[in-house]
Amino acid sequence: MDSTQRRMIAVAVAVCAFAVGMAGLLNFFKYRATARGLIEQRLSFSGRSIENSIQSSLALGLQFGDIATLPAMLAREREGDDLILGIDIFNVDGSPLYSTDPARATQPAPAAWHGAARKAGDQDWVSHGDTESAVGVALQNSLGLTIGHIALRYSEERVRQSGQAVARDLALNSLLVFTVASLLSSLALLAVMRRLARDMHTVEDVLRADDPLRAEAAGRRSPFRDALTRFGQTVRSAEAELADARAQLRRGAGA
Amino acid sequence: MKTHYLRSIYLRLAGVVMLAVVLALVANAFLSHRSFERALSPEMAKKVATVGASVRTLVLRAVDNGIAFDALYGVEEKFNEIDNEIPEVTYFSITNTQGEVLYQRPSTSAEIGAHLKSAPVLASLGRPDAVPAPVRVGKHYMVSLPIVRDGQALGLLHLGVDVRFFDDLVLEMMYDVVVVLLVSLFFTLELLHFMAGARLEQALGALGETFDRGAAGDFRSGLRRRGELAFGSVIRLLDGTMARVNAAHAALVEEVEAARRAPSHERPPGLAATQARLQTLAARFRFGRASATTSNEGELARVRAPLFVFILAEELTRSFLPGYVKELLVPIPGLSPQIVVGLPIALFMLIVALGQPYFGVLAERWGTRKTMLCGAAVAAAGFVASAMAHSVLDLLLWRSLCAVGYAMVFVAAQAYVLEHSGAGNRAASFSTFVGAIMVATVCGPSIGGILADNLGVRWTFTVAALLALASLASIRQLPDRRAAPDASRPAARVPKLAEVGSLLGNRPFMIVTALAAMPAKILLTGLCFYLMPLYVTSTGGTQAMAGRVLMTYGVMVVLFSPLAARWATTRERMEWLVGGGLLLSGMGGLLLLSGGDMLHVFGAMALVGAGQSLSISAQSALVSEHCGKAIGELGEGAVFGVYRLLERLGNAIGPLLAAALVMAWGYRTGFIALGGFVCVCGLLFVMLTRHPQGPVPVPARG
Repeated sequence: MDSTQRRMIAVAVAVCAFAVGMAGLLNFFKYRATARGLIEQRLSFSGRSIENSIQSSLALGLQFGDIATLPAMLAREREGDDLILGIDIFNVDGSPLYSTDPARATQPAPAAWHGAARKAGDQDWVSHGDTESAVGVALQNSLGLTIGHIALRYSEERVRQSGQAVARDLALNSLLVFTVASLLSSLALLAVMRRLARDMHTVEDVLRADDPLRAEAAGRRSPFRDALTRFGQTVRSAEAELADARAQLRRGAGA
Repeated sequence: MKTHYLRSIYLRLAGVVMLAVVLALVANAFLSHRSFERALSPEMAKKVATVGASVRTLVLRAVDNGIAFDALYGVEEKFNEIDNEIPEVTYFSITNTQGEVLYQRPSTSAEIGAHLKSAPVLASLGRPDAVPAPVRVGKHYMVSLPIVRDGQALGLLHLGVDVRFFDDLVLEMMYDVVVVLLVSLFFTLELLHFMAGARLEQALGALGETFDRGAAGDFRSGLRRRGELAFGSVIRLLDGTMARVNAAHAALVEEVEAARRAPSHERPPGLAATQARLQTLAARFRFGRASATTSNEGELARVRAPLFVFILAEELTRSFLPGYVKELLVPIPGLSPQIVVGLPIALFMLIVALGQPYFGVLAERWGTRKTMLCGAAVAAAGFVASAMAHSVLDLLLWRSLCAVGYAMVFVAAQAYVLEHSGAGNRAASFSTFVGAIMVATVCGPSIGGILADNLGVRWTFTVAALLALASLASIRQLPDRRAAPDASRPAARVPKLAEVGSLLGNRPFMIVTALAAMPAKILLTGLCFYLMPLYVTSTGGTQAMAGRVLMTYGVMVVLFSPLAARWATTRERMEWLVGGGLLLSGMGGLLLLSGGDMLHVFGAMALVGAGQSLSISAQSALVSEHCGKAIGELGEGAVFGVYRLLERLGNAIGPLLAAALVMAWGYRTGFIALGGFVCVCGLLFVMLTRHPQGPVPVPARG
């Protein structure tokens, strides 16, 4: 295998690596975004059912910070979904109102949550952290004013773990596809290069042929036919003239 | 012969690689579809179970209030509500304990009906707290939730997720996969050229030249070739054939010489005739030794790879930079947010415009390799710092570093091409330079957009830094020595103020510069680099989408530029191309009058790309055509230096003008106004070049 062929194989491998690698990355990103979307939609749905309960209590005239049945309901919701680490409710200033985790009931909402909630206004929000993330649902009173937020915390570690399993799966798929594609494209490139080599061999055959007729016949198959013909004619003409001149000189010498 | 044959080989090589890539991407999509289905269906089931739990709670509340389980009211309405909220759930039903359907939306197929009555489904009534696993039934993933009140089973709630949800996931990636495919095609061509093409081209060039020499009867020996060629045996055979003829001639000359030196009575009688024939042969053919010459073609091609990789690094940022600036926005007194968003692009372009003449001088002093190395290193540092920017203020500084690096590499690469080309092949040599930039323009924004969407903008800047560093490795492979100076080429220098002033008052020069070159650049940076990415993201599009739109521009330029170059053969044609190109690109902006959706944005970019490619290549040629007198007075270097400076100032003005238009009228009207402005410039250009003056004699350079 000459260096041009090695280079061709390197091209095939590099292009397949880029295309399959990019496609693999896109697949993983798509999975990650979809899986996260499913989790967040699910938590958001749970958050909205909590919101409905709170709205019912507010409609009965209870104060937002004084709904006695809420802690039990939050605990039920948390236990109903193994993904939820905890549920916190805080007002628009970030002050805690309720939490399934007693230690958090006295702590203000993390600044990241507070920022995300403020940015989202009356929409659902999401705050991603290194170990914990949260999906939030805005709570509004009957006048449409936001009075607080429900945050459902979930473990990033768990999301990452399931992502790693899929990443392994996708990486294996990509590796398999890459290997087959590289092999196929390398073989196909070598086949194309063989055509180039064949063209060159034809030129070599023509140049090596002693018989001009055979050379001409071989040259007819070559893409360099015209160039070969012109080259051959000139060479033959020059050699004939030189041979003729030499014969003339020697003929005279012998006479 | 050489070009045609080489192109056919290239097409076959690229074709087979692309076929393999297409097959690979299809296989990858198929396998990932299976992985998605396997990994996401449990998550989907959990989500559906959460939704179902809320329906179940409502049903139980109604039953608690004394309504019979089989006489509930408003169940279908609730199903309808969920259908609107979660469109992937397309089947709902409630069955009794025997699996008979009580409520449904839409109707239950026979296949699903059989599933609802199956033993495993009915057995789940005994496990009311378990999260059910999804079961594939026909075109649905079915999730069944038991409805149990005080330990007594009432029935089951069934929700069906359309399996098309998983098909759609793969289909949603189709745009990105097409982008990957297109970029792979350009990468294939670049890599083929970089790794083997230049070598093949050189070998085919040598083969063609050897054939030509032989056919012309030039049998001289002594031509030196640089390195081992791709199919050296054939060339050696040709060289050997010619050497044989050359040797036969030398032997004959020697024989004649020996005969001539012999005493006159021993001289052969045919000597005089043979000497006459030798003279005839010498007139028809060339024998002896040739003066050694070497070709620069191989060295010239070596600049393409580092230039491509470096420009790709900068192009990666095009689709997301305005959005990133918007994220880092801080209030700057006296400047509106829109102007501030445009500042990093405008500053980048300004530095490139003003820096290029100085870096041209620097490249002559330091050498092109050193200047390129330095520029790539500075830009890499700029990319890393941009990735870590805290606010728009420090980002301005880091982008300035990128601009300095960009200008240094750009100018030095241009100088490298000039150093390694002669007056005869300069235009062809510059196609190497322009080609690398064009391919990077196609590949960079689209890949940058995809990476920014998925990895994040800061990581994409890091990828850009890595690319700039990779280009350093490639630049190091360039020859360190400098080519012999070309007397036909003026030395690089900074334009003098007097020259700028004189040309600003020169009507023909200003017609080409102010009505064609500057508006074209204003449209490019204002509309393509500033307005379009912001408009796309403001309408809910992603950065990947902005990248795809910019890619359309690049593809149009790649497709149309060679055509435009072929058409631009006369002055009149060039004027029509420039005027028509301006009008066409301006129409791109005006296209948004008819609609503001993504299809219109793609159409706008396609028109801008086509228009720009028609006008740009003819513009600089028109400077020579229109400004013969000024060139005669000030020199070609000064006129083109000022022309390039003003053209690039157009690049800097573009984002600021676009920002002002956005401030006044918003994004869409900004598009339309910029397009209208360029159309007006195009019309004025056409009107003012309708009656060209007669040719102006230009003194020949000595």
